[in-house]
Amino acid sequence: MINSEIICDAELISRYMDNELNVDELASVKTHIAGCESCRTRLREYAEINAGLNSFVQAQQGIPAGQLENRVLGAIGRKTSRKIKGWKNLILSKRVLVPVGVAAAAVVIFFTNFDNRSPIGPTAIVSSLSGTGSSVMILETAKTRQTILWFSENG
Amino acid sequence: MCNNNTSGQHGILLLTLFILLFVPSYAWSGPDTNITVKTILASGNGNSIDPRLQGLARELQSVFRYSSYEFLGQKSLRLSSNNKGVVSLPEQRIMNISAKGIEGDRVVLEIEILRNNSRIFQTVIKLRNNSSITIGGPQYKGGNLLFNIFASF
Repeated sequence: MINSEIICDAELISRYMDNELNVDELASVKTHIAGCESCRTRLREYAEINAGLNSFVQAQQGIPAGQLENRVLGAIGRKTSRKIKGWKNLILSKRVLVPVGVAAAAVVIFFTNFDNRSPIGPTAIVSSLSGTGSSVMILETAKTRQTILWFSENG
Repeated sequence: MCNNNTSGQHGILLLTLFILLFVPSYAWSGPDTNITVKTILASGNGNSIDPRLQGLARELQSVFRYSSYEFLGQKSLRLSSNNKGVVSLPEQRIMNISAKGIEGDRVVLEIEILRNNSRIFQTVIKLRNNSSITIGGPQYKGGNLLFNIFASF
């Protein structure tokens, strides 16, 4: 329970103005204000300030204060969508598409035709192989897959 | 008359295109093939690698366990199709190399090694352009001889 000594409090009056009090607080503050001249005066002052602010905003925007937020957010949204549209037009324009296409084709051609770092298959394909010795072997190096033919000379 | 001439020209053009596109590349005599043969003595004696063999020795070390690669000599040949080149090797050995033609990006080579005029090794390979093959085996001075053959056309 809130007693009358504590309730003479500017914060509580302000919260009362803004409808932020719970049921118990509200009942106590209402009872207190009914019997407290200074709090009634404070409440009137707050009400005047509030009314003054609302009329100022309406005068500036020509709209009720509650609709201001929607208007501002709407304006931001329109600006953002215009920016996105601008980027989209730039990316899809021929001035950008043609050079980007040519560059992409050049990269593909470079990597398919001029990249010899990893050879496909061994360096040599052995069609026939014979020796007079006891063994003939075909080997391959690890990195460049160089073919090695090994034969023993003496049987 | 004009129409007949035009269709005749078109026929010649199509025939030329057909020949260019469909006649196999190996039937064409093709460019000359440059061959370089390096003779190497690989052994376990010492730890020296000839600077001229640095790259090759690194490659070969993925297969062999030799610690020494000694450069014994090099010979370059320029072979036209079906021409034979001869390379002298240590201890009365010789290597005959013949270029048999080009197939795509490979040259067909017939290689034989003879000792005292008797053939001890023979192979036919298709070696990729700007690539090499190593043939090895004969024993020499406590190691083994390796012949690295590089071809370009």
